[in-house]
This record gives sequence, C-alpha cells and structure tokens, in this order.
Amino acid sequence: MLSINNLHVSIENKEILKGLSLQVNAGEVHAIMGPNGTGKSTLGNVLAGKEGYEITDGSVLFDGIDLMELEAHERAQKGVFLAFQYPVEIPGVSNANFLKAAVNEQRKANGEEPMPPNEFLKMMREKMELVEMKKDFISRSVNQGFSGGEKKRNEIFQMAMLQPKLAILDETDSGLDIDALRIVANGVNKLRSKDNAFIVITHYQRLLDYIVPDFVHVMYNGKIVKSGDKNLALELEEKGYEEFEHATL
Amino acid sequence: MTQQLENILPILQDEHQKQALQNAMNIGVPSMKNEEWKYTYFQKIWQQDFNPILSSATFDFNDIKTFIDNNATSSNRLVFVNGQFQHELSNLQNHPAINFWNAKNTASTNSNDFLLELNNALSTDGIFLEIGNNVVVDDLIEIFYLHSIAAPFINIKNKIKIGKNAVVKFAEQFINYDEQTAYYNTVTTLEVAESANIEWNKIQDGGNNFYITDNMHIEQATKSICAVNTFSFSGGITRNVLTYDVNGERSESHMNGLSLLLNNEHVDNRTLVNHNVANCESYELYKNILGGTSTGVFNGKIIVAQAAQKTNAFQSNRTILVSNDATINTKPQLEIFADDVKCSHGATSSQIEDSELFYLQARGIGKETARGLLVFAFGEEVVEKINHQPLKEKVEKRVAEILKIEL
Amino acid sequence: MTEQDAIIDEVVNSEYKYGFVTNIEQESAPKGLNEDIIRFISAKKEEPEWMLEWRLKAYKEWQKMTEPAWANVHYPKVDFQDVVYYTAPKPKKNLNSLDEVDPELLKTFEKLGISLDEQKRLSGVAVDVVFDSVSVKTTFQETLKEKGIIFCSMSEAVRNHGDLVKKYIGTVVPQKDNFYAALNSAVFSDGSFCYIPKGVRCPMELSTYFRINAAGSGQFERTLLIADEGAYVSYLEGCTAPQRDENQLHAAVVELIALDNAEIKYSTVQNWYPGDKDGKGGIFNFVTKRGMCKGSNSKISWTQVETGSAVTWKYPSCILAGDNSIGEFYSVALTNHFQQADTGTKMIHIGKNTKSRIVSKGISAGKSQNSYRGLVKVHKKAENARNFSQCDSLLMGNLCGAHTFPYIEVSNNTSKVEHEATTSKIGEDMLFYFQQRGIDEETAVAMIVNGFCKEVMDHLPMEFAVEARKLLEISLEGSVG
Repeated sequence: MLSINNLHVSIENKEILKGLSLQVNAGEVHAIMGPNGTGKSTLGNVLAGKEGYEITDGSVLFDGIDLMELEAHERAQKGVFLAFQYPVEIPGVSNANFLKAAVNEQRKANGEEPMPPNEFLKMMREKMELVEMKKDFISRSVNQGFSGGEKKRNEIFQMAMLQPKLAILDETDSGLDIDALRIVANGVNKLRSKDNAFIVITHYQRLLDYIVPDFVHVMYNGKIVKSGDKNLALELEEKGYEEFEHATL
Repeated sequence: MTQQLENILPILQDEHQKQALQNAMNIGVPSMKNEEWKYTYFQKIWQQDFNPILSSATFDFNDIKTFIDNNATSSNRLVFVNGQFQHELSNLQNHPAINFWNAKNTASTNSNDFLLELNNALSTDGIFLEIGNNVVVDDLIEIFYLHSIAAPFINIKNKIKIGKNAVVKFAEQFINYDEQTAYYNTVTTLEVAESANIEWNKIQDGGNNFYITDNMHIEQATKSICAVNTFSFSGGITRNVLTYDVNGERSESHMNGLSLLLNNEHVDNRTLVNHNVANCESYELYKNILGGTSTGVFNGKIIVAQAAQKTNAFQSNRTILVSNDATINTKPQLEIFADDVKCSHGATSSQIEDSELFYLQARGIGKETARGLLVFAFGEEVVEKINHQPLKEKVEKRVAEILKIEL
Repeated sequence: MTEQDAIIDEVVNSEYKYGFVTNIEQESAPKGLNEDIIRFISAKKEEPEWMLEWRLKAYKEWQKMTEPAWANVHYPKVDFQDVVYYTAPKPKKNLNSLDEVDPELLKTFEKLGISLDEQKRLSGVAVDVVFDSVSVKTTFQETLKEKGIIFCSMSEAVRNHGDLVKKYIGTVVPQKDNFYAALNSAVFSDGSFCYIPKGVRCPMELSTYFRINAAGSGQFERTLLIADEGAYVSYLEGCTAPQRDENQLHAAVVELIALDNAEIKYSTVQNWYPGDKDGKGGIFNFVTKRGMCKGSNSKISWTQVETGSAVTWKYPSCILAGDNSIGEFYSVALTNHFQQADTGTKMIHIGKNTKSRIVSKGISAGKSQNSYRGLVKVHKKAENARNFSQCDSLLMGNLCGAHTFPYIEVSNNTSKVEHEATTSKIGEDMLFYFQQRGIDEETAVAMIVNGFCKEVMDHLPMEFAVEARKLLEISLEGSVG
C-alpha cells in the first residue's frame, strides 16, 4: 500500500529525514518510536502534504501512485489520514458542517453523489458512540474549547467518518489520561481491518499495550535504524534509546 | 499666555528659536475640536498666568539639596531647578564611555505640533547623554525637575543616546514641593541602539495645581528592549505623548501606566507605536484608578506597516471608577497594513467586583479596607513593572498613602 | 506570491451579479440642487405644506455645513450640483394591481430574485420596493392592515398618515445631525414607513428592496419605523445597483423608535455596486441609521452584512434612553479590491440598567481598507449600564488594511464596559487541517470566513441568512467554474 524509499526531506535547508525507507501493507499496524526531534512528526506531515518541506531525494508510492505529486486535499481524498498531534480550533465551523464537507468532497473525488443528510447524521451518531462523544458535539465548533482529550477523540472520530486506507496517528497518546487513552485505542482497534493500515507514531510504549502493532520501528536521526515485532517496543521501554545514540554517531 | 508669547518673540536671540515660536503661533493653541485634543481642555493651562522662564533664577541651594537627599533612591542624579541644569546638585557615575553635558538644544524640528514648537522656542536647558556600547549603568539615573519661583512655565529638552548592548534604567521625577502652581512642557528623545535594554520611569505627582505636557520620542534598533512606565498620582492636567518608532527587527517595546487620581484632576496618556519592521513585539498595559471629579484619557494607537509582518502587538487599558463623578475616555486604536500579524486590544471600565469585596469581608476585613486593598492590588500589576527595588518601594508606598491603606 | 496567497487572491476575486441596467421610460428632475428642485420633489409627491417647509429648513441648514472628513475613507469630492435628485419610472396611472406595474420593472425584480407577486411568495415577507426615487409596489398591505399595521412607502405615509410622520420624523436623526442627514432631509425621495400599533406582533417579516437604476442620479431614501408599546417587528433591507463607471451617491436616513416594551429587529444586506476590480465606479454609501429605545424595556437590534459599495460611511446606532433598554449591533463588513468601509455603531447609555452588545467582524481583501469606528458612551445617570464589544478583523493578503477606532466614554462608576479586539489572518495550520480532511483551499477559506462571521449570521432572519451566506460566498467565490 505504502512504499517509502530512501526519503530525504529538508526544512529551510536543514535535513530532517535522511534516507528513510518503510513498506506498509494493507492490514498492518506499524509503530514508529524514537526520541524527540528525530523527524517522526515530519514524516507524518510530509506524507499528508504539509507545505514548507523540501523533498530532496527518494520516493513515496501510495497504491502505486506518486504521493508527492498530489495536493494535500487530494491525498486525503485518496485515503491518507493524519491524526494531528495538535488539532487546530476552527471558530464558527460546526463539527457537522466540517465533516459533511470532508465526506462529500471525498465522495465527489470518487465520482459518488453526496451522502444524503439523514444517512450522514446516522453515521455521525454511530461513530460518535465509538469515541464516546457527547450529543452537543455535533453543533459545537471544531475543536473550539475542547479539552486535550476531546481533541484527540475528535481526531479518531473524524478518522472513523472518513474511513481512510492509511491512517497516521501522530503522538495521539500524548497528554491523554488513561480513560481517554482507552477510548482512543478502542476506536482504532474497531477500525482495524484487512483493507486498511495504520502508522502509529509515539514516544512511549504505553499506547502499544492497547493498540498492538505488527511491526515496531525505531527512528533515530532521520531514518529507521531498527525494526522488529512488538517486543522491540518493550525492549525500548527498558533500555531507552542510548544504544542508537552510539550507533549513529 | 498668547500675549506673553507675542512679547517674547522680539526678545529671542536665536534664529531657530524665533522661527519655532513663530511656528507655534501659526499652528495655534490646541482646541478640543482637534481629534488629538478631543478630551483635554488645554485652555485650562493656557488661560492661567504662568511666567515663561528664559534665564536662570536664584534659589535656596541647601533647601533643595536637603529635599533631594531625602527623596532620591539612587546616587546617580541629574537635577534641574527653574529649568536650569544644576551641576552642584547632580552626580553621575564616572565611566569613560559615558558622555554627558548640558546645553540649550535649539535644533528646530519644524513639526506641526504646537507644544513641540513651543518647547523648541523656549527650552532653557537640557541633558545630552550618550551611553557607550556595552555599558551597564550600575544604578538608576534619576532626573529631578524642581522650581523655586512662583507660577513658572518651564521648557526642557533632553536628548539621550544609548549604545549597543548597554543597560540603563532611568527615573524622571516632576517635583512641586511647595505645592504652588507650575507648568512643565518637556521633550525627550531617546535613541536605543542594537540589543540595548532600557527602562524609563516617570513619576508625576505635583499636586492639583501642577501641569505637565510631556513628549517622549523613542527610536529602537534591532533586538533592543525599551520599557516606559508612567505613574501619574496628581496633577491639574498631565498629558503624556509617548511615541515609539520601532526600526529594528526582533525588538520589544513595553509601555505601562498607572494613573491614580482622586481629586479634580485630569490625565491624558497617548501612545503611538509605529511598527515599521517585521518580527517585533509591543506590549501595553495602562490602568486608571479615578475618583473625585477626575477624568482619565487613554489613546493608544498601534500602526503596523505593510513591511512589519509577524508583528505581535498587545494593548490593554483597564479602569476602575471609584466615584460616580469620575470619567474615563478611552480610544484604543489599531491600524493594520500587514496581514501576518497578531494584534489585540482590550479596554474595560468597571468598579471593584462585589464578589471579591465580599470574599475579603467574609474574612473579617472591613469594607473600606477591603476596597482599598483590592484597588491597591489592581494598581500593583503596573507598579511591579519597575525593576529597581528602592524606587518600586517608594512608588508602592505612595500608592498606599493615596489609597489610605497600610502595607 | 506564495501559493496560498495566490489561492486567496483567486478566492476573493468575484463578479458583481446585479450590474445590469433596466431600460425604462423615466422622468427626472434637472441636475443640481436648489430650492426649486426641492419644491419640484415635494410637488411630485403631492406633499402637504409642512413637509415642504421641513425640507426647506433642512436645505438651509445643509448649505451652512461642510462634508465630514474624519472617516478613514478617501474619494473624489462629490459635486452636489452634478447629481440628479429625482428620477422615477414614468407612471402610467395609479397602481392598484400588479398587472399595472411596468413589465420591465417586474422583470428587473425577478432577475434580482425579488418577486412582487404575493401569490408566488412562499414565506410571509411583505416587500416595499424602491426603484430610484419612488416606491414601486408594497405587497401584503391588506393583510397587515387587518392588524392595524401600517406598511407603505414614505410618500404615501406623508400623504395618508401625516400626523404620525410629523410626530416622529427627525426626532431620532435631526435635520442638521450631519451633512448627509441634512441633505437627505432636504431631498429625500422615497423609502418605507412602518407603524406597529400597541401590543401587536407583526406576523411577517417586513422588507424593503432598494434599487438604483438611472445614471447620474443619487438615491436619498428615508425610512421611519415606529414600534408602539409592546409591539414587535422584524424588518429587512436589501440593495443593489447597476454596474457603472461613474460613482453614484446614496445618502439615506433610517429612524427607528421603540416605545415601552417594544422590540425592533433591523437587518440589512447591503450589496450596492462596489466598483470594478480597479476601483472604477461604485456607490458612495453615506448613511445615517439610528434607533431610539425611548420606552423602558425596549430593544433595538441592528444586524448588517455589508459587501457592496465603493465607499461606506455608516454607523447604525442606539440611543438607550428608556430604563432597562437593550441595544445590539451585529455586523459583517467585507471589503475587496479598492473598496473602503468605515462602519460601526454608537451605543449611548442614558437610562438605568441599559445593556448593549457589539459584535463586529471585518474582512479585508485585495487593496481594500476596512475600518471599525464605534462609540460606547455611558452617561452619568446610566446606573448599572453594561456593554460588551467584540471587534475582530481578518486580513486576506498583504495589500489591504484593517483599522479599529473604538471610543469609550464612561461617566458612571456602577457601569461595566468591556471591549475586545483582535486582528489576524487565516492560519496556514488551519488551512492544512481542512486540506488533510480532503477539503480544498478555496472551500476551506469560504468555510473559515463563514465561521468567522457565524455569530452575526445567526442573528439574521432565516431567509436573509441564506441570501447573506450566498453573498459572502459570491464575494469569495474564485474564478473556478
């Protein structure tokens, strides 16, 4: 599904990703771990198409097409979803309106008719339950006045509504208490299927107790330096990243 | 006083001064029809019989020396009496990179401002101070303005240059120790070079019959920090015009003010920040506590030029009216020509919250004391901006004294 | 130009869709202004003598006055002798039914989406339609009459309800209030008059649609709206004009009076021709609107969406004289290209426990200048007065300007006044968030702007809110499609 080969990315002439490669197949969950400042969030932003990054080398293929050639909204319409680490507040735009636009733009891109309003509302109610959102949520402005936990739950809710092929969760666990963490993880687990894939970017092993990954990758200094199964995460939790510090220097 | 100016015109020797006086007379006395003077009745000053001071006058040296010794909070002091600089009463830290002299500054500005031109024409003396690069002045530089003659009209014009990386604190004190009437029209220009850090405090407390029109113009270079704290505790009319030209990137401008007037007094604070370049920040906090029949005016203008992208400008003006005969007129004004900016201003006028008052009363504090404490706390936010302990304590003491509370 | 700027640039470029001209036989007064012209207008309208005297008095005052220069707008001086002060479609006879209205006019209003046919209107909105200097048709008059409501053109009111007009005209905006109000008082042509009797809740929205058509003419309408004790009315106003290279003058006066326990909701969608993208042509919109909360517990609420006009000078205000009265002002002002708007409100607190709320949203794009100017004044006797003001500006592109000039004057210490203002642009992070959810930048900008204005839009009556949202979108619609 996703094939990243030797990806080099710079911001303002400073290289952040230094030859990163990663293969993700449908049905897989990949965890990317690593200390702060190693380029984990950059990877998420580059895949989603945020401006300001310069791709200096390498390639990213998504279902066989060159992802880097597409605009951010086109990538989203093709099924790339980024759950933001810091979701923005959008005053005056209700969650319902926002998602209606998002769902229908995606359908339009796929040559489908807009979703009938009653069907849309029904779907919203269903998915809201998934992340235990309160009823008034529909008419509230996107993320405005939301607590940290509510914002993260909203990201998972949007993911549930848009049903992406590839979801990238950027530090979705940061700042969450144990209840919120459970809700978020539960949401993700229910959405897992053989047709979609997840990249879970995280700093701590904690989240992986709830979302069990098929693969764990250690990212250090702009590339993946070690891959393994879920036991690698436990190992990291114990030993920290010191080993890699020496390895790359 | 217009008649007096006409009498002075032929006596003036200096051509620049003559021209300036002519300019002032052409511009005319400010009227309330002028937007800049909408809320301040300048005629209240102008119709009084002040004596323009043009040359030195005698005074009781010991009297004034004692006064200063008792009131100074620093060893660095620059003293004016009757509009003339007094070397014997002054003292400034010796440093090879500090240049100081005093002189009558007759350079003309050809402004269209009546008071600036009047100052050009009539200023008798002024400070020229140059602080060299990297100089850190150990203690506060206190500037005292005093007078000994009856009903003087005093014009003083200072010019101060601060070198790169220099750190200096000032306090400008307007003194009216016999509580008789007087009018000061002062002008100060301050140039702040790269990475310098300046704090300038003004203490204005000359009693009901004391009048001040002060004009301060600041130019800031890259990465500099400049704060002006203005404290007005009494005065028939006190008008402060404070202008910042922010000409260097990544600089910070701070303006703070506390006006605490409980009698028949008037204060008019006008700030203008010209954000001419990108990536700068300005912060403004002006508070008023107005009682008696006093009136407060705040006019805060921020202009963000097209080139000044990424400007952050914040302004806040808060007023407590402690009597129903007091008035506040506020006009916070933003003029924005750059799109990538964050600017905000807020203004409030209210009285002390009943809930706060009740909270203190519930702890056994009498209503009047409670009110005093809350008002004091309201003003304290500004007093805390003074970064010189003895001066801060002195100001705090004065605020407590006016509010009749014990610290 | 960055890509984002380019998209914003695209997004804010739009075409004015109401710029056509109606070819219709018309009669006009000669150009220029003097006493004879005023007599001509008054005679055309078959006015009583007192009305003419009132006009002439205003004219004398106007001659002594000078055009105000304090607003943050710049425009070529108007030559007041080069304006036609009266233009009207030639009447065939007195209009009794819709069949007698000139078919060209009917077509014009169909095109503007205003149906004059009562049968065709689904919702209950009564419309008074003003074309240049005269009212063409007022719908639903009979239905309203049953409730004792008077809703008619100003000319008709002067003839048929002289006592009411005489009692209230000029009591809120005196003849010599300001330069344009004085001019309007002298030459006002038509407008709407409305009286809601005691205790009556007007059963439908009342609305006036203003259209400038003729070249070289100004429009000087005058609207007077009185809500008697306990009455309620919601009133809407819309305006358009043809696309012309010359500037045309519009100087209206609106007076609202709310007696004890009465409520008036006044909504405007102003879409006069704004001029082309190079700033050529467009309407000079110099308007005095003021409401008097005369009675206790009365309420006046202004809502405006301003997208049109080359130059706007307009401050719908409330005088809160009655105890416990409430004034509100909700405004969206969008300026693009070379448009200039200087708009805001005045809230004058005189009575006890009076409350006011100001919400102003300014959006500047292109090379436009958008200013908020407001006054909150609390008189000494206005015990417990409360005001809250929120003024937000959104800048799109770096060639426009956003300005705020709020005046706050407080002389009562039991009052509480709060004012907040912010200026910002649409953040890149916000745009990326939309895009990441599959929404393109153009739609995102439109949604963000609509969100920015939501609090104001929520105060518009249903039918108008839809129209206003569309209007904002048209003004924001890109060259796409």
